[in-house]
Amino acid sequence: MIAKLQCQAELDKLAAVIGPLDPHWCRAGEVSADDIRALRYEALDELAQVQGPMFRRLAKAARFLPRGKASRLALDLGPLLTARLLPHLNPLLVGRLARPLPVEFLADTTLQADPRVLRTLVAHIAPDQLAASAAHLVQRQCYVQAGQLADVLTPPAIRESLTLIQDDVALLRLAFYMEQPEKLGDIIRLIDNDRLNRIILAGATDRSAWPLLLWVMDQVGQDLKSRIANQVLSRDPAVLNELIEFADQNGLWGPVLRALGTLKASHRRIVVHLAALRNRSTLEHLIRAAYDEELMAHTLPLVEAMNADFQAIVANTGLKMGGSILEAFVRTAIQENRADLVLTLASRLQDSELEELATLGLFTEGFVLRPLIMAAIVSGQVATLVRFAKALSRRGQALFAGLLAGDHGALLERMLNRTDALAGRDWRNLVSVLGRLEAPEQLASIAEVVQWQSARTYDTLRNYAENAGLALFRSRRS
Amino acid sequence: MTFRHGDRGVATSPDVDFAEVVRTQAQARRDQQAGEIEAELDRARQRMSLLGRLALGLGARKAVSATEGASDDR
Repeated sequence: MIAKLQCQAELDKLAAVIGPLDPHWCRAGEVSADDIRALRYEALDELAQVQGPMFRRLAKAARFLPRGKASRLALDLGPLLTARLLPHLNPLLVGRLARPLPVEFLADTTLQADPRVLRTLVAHIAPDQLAASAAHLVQRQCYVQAGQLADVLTPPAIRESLTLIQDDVALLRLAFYMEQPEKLGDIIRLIDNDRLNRIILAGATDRSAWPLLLWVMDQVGQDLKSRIANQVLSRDPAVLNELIEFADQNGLWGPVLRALGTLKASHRRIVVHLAALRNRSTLEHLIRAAYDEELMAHTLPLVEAMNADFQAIVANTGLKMGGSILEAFVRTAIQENRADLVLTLASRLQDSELEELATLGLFTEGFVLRPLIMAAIVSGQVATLVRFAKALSRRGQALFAGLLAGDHGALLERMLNRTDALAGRDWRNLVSVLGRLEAPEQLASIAEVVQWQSARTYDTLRNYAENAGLALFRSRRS
Repeated sequence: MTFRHGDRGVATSPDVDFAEVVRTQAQARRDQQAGEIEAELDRARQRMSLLGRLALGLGARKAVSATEGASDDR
């Protein structure tokens, strides 16, 4: 979804070259940012060809003029013609010619010039002139043209620009139009903490800047992402609530999910209980986005932070969204060693819902069931595990029982050590699932394990097995 | 690379090629800029010093010969 913002930035840059685009095109979303950029470069190449030979000759002639005269020549030519001369001039010479030129002239020339050319010249222009020009462009709201140069500014020019540009939201706008957004982190590291906090808060409190704030949050590394997200939340959770609603309405869940994953645990609890996430359709959009953008792993810490009621809503919503989404969640949880969260959500489901969940094909796979058993043992969710096992298909139950019996009943033994909270129904379910075993060596393994259990566990299991007519634990207790 | 034309990004008419639309608009912008450059050159000639006019004249004269195939760029 962040691709939408990238496209928007590219469309704005294209409009800066060829003029405003029909709004119809600006709403469309089937062209990639790369395609739009390629068209912009094509248009810039076209413009550079207008009187190209004349400008090339003029540049050659200008080389022989004394510096003062050459600067004067630029002023006489005006910003448009000077901009067209730039590709044909030596960058070092440009730096020297620019020195005596007024800021307004440099800014006007920037508006007319090919940004690709300007980017090669920036390093040769004095930082104070660059900063003043940038401030001038910001004052005129020419964010596209100024932003396109932001990532090639030298640290002194950036610091100088930050001093001159006091409009914090404008700085977010400049960042939005950077040609190499991956360099944003390097720029932000040059900003002192107080200023950065100011910029973040300005973005958070100005609704029109929210796409920019989300964009910026998505471009920077984990540390900065975390800092921005925590800063927004600690300032006012209500703002984040609105920001989430905004992201939902504009299909911008990707940046939000990635940012929420970096929140402190205490902040995460606040977030997951925000009113915005109580809305079932919002929740569906979040889950859908996590699935579509392969960000399911980012939902795990959120699920963990939810209270039981909310977990029930999430589990129920996920169930209604279909098998592929549920499977993606389960697979991700297992990959991330968080199978316990699958059990937590399963524990919030009604029996009929649990049976629906258990029909998923991946619950007949050992690589899924084994981590679930392990997670139940470690997290003490054995009752949920047994309830879930009973809901599995016949094949799933046989595999489940086989896993418990494997390795001389090692997993069954560990599980029986965590059965303090099992109710009668759970014991009955466990015995029923173990009743799926058919191989003599598996039956022998579980009988061996059971006979060494406490008298209470042994008697309970044996009684339930006998009541069910199962000859599971025939061997006598020694 | 096709954008659908219609309200709220929903297709209401046959697909139109976005690249084609952009190229047409870019061509118009190029033509417009050619006119602006001509006008700017005229204005520049009027305000320039003799040296500037000489440089500009040199550029223009050479450019003419270049376009005529003299290839004196080299």
